[in-house]
Amino acid sequence: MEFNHLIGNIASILLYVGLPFLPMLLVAIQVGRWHDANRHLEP
Amino acid sequence: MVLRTIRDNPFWAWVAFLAVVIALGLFAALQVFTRGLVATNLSDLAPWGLWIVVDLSTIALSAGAFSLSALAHLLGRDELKPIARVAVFIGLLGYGGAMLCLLLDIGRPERFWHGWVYWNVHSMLWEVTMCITFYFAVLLLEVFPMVVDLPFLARFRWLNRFGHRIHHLAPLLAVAGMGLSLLHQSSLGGTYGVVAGRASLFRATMPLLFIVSAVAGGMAFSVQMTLIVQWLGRRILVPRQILFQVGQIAGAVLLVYLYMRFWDSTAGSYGYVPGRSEADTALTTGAFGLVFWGWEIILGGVVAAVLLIAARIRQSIAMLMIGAALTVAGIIANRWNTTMLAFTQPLATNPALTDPVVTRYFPNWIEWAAALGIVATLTLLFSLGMHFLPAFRGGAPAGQEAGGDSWSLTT
Repeated sequence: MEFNHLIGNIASILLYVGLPFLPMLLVAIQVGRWHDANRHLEP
Repeated sequence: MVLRTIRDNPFWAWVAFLAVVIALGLFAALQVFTRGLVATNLSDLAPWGLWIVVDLSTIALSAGAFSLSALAHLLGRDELKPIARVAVFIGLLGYGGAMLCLLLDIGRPERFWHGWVYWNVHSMLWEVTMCITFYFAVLLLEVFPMVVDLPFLARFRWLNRFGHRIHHLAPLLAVAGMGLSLLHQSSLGGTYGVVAGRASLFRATMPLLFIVSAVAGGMAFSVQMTLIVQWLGRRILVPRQILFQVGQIAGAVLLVYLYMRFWDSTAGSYGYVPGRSEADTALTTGAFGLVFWGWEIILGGVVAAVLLIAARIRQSIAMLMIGAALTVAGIIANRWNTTMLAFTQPLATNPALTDPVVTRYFPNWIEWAAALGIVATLTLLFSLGMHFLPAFRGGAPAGQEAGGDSWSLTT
């Protein structure tokens, strides 16, 4: 029972926190890469 | 012809997608206007729900407009003007979205003007209504000079002259905007803070928590949106060092907010406070616990503040971007938790009832569709503004002309 609770809690964290966080992280990496590659556009 | 344009141009495909979401939202809004609030899951015990969360979130994320305008125009930080312009544009849309939410939420939309005519000076909401109205007018004046610079308006020379005259009033508008924003951003917290029947809300610190969190969220949102527009539009609107600076200020303000929140939660709940202690337990351990700890405190609070501050030291745009996005997510989670917790906890009564008056609430599809429709409308207007307004042309690659004289990248 305790083990099931633990698995349930980990699944909840992954679903409600990890899953929405992943696209944010991927977009941030892309945005960072583009800005680093285009420093020459800075005024 | 239209289909080919959409297929060949990602921007117009994006506009078409948003138009579909807006159409769904309009259909949902029509249900509310024809059938009333009975079409929603709102009730007398849970009168505020998803739309108020969207309303509070858009207003909080618009706080970059007044805070960055004040820094740029009143404290002489001219280098912040490019990002202040983005923030002001976001602010105008944010307040417009908030008013759309309220139009749906008041239940009698044809009476929207009553607050302006029949003054109830004892109501926090009346003060908020007046401040939002006046501040929306200030934001319109601040955005007006950007709009009259559109090429197809060039033939109306008087309009152009009028626009540039208003542009010179920017410091005055910044003073008015700051006064009105400080009043209503805190009064929104005050609106919750005076509700004695809702134990989780009834506290004197709500106005302070609302205004400080809004400043951090508003600045972070302006940074986040600027970075996304630069990435998708392949141009520079704001120099990176300015973005790092604003990010660091937002991170510092977020830390101040977390400090205030910590003391509010610990010292404010010292010992047993009827109703509030139960609400705090529900917030930290119950169904709200995951959103509270995961999004509001850890990712949207501590991690976000550290990333925003460290981004400038590490000169990392990716860190800045994720820090800003987490701050925004944290503010939205906070407004969600504050509203939902308040109206799903037992209503405080004096004397206490044997069976506490309590209700369950979760938004139905009409509420979700209308809320998404409003968000899509704001996103569409923001996309069109960033695409067409000369003020956001920025430094473009490969021989394209950079911004005009009046919309410099550096001032």
